[in-house]
Amino acid sequence: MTTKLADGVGFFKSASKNINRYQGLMIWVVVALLFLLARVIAPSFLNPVHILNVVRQASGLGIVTIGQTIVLITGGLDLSNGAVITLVDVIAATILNGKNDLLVPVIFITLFIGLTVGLVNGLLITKLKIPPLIETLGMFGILKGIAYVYTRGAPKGDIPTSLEFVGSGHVGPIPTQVFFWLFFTIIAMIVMGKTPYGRLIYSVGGNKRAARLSGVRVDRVIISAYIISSCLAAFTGLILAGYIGTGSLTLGEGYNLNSLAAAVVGGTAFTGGIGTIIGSAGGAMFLAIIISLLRFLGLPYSTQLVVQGVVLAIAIFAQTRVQE
Amino acid sequence: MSNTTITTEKQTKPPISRNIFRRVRPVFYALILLCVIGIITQPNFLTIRNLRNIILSTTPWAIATIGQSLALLTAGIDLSIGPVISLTNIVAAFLMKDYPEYALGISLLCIALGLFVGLINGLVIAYLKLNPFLFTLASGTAIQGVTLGIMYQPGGMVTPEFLQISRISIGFLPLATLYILFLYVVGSFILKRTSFGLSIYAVGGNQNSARLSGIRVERVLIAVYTISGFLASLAGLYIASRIGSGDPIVGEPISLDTITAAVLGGTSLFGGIGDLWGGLAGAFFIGTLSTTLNLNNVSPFYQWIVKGFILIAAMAIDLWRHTGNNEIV
Repeated sequence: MTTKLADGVGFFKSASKNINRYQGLMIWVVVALLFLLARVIAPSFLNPVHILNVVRQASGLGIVTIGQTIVLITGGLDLSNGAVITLVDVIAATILNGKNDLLVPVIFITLFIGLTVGLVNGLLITKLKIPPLIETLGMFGILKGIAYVYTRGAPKGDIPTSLEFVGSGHVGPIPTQVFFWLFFTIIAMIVMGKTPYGRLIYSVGGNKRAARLSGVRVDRVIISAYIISSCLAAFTGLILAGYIGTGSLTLGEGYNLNSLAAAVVGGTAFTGGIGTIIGSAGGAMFLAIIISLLRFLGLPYSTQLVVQGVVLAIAIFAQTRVQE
Repeated sequence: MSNTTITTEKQTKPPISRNIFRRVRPVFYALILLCVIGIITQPNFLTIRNLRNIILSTTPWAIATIGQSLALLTAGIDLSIGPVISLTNIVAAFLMKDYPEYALGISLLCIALGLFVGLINGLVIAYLKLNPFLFTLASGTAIQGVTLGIMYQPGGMVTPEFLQISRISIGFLPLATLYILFLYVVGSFILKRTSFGLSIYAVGGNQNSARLSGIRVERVLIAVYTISGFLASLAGLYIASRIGSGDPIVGEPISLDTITAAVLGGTSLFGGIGDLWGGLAGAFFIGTLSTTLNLNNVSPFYQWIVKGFILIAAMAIDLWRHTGNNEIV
């Protein structure tokens, strides 16, 4: 909240530096505590193979969460990313149908979907001033509908070996997905922390008016954030397609709310201007460990949901206190 | 637009046009247009059977939309409506199967559950000041978990008397029409004619000035979320009566559909602007749309796309009508 009041020269600094460093690292402490807890209640949870598997489960969510975080920092919200994942998956599976030769066009189609969806989201939100919640919710419905219409409700097709390597292969002992997550995280950390563009994102979310008055092209920055989010979601769709190996109409389900939860748990403020990439990575890791640990303990899906809800509530509470 | 008398920061109303056609909200025209399209494309549209069907299937949406509208009027939102509907639906069907003689008590228990969830939401949002979107998302997730824990698959059964709640008719008019009318008339009266109702607008318009002018903001918020939980439990019981059994995910789309209905009806997402009748028209617009598309054999897949477009378009039109409010975001 402090950033909202800040103005003028010092405001760029305070928004991007002081507050964030701490918050981003807090969640990793919690993740470490979670591992300690796992060691006590389920010692066999902590074998390297299993942990790497948990990291792989966090990867898809982690990449989507990067985009969600950037959008949240601008003061927006992206609920359409899960539908982008589903759409990319069914289209990729249908076109590729098990053969490698069309991979390059499919990558272009993926990027095209990400760009278009992000651009439309951004334009409607900035130019027509439609609240992000409503706009991206509407877009979610539209994309989900397109995926159903495209497959006529019965997705078919197959994923070729190249994509399968990306989704479920390993480099040495480490799942390939993890490298992509790491790659995007590092790039995003550099962009958000070290470049003028990153500071623009923070400034827009911190105080839109102040940013506009100091010459920032606010609309362009916001549109670019939605494009990044959609493109990352589209790319995640391709990776997850490689993991499940087929077209699925439910693949992206829950990614919108889970990426939101991961970002918030990782210290990103719902009100904009505050958040870090490293924190969101911790948030994604945190959710993946919780879900996997509950499954490991043999608890049913219903209990997982209850725990997820309670954990999210506690995280929001903690964050609200910290920001005050 | 509302004819509220209190002045709040956001009430930079557009000058009230003398033209009556501009003062009626677009959703009513949209509803009429939809009915005309329905009548033209489907001779069956105007049959009593179809109209009854529209009313019966829209009732839970209409009931739940009141709660969502109130939450939106305070500049909040309630995403736990759908899960509460699922929960009460399941609890009713689950318990009535084994204890049919206690049907009334079970119904009261379900209502108590709705009130309880709403009270918790309200307390947390009012006193701990957590973001309503995030907190009701979290509480909704937890409630959905509890619901699936009670019953993982559709099942259970309600008593024959309980079934009648949604089946009794007066002439050709289902009794459900009266439930809706009763709730909306009472709700609108409270909203427009009592100090509590006006304080809802004040809280939504500007929380600080509402507090400074002596309104107990916390109490208003708690009351609004409790009412929303209460109405969601009524909607859940109605669905239990209509389908005769329990379904643990029956409420899933309703949280978001009620937002669509309220927004279609001109309720602002930023609080302070809107009323209940617009939301009712919005709910019936959605209900009639699904029915019309089904009658015309449009695949449900296209309905997702249509609903998405309508949500965005409705918001755009509403913002265009209130051009004065565009600087809020």
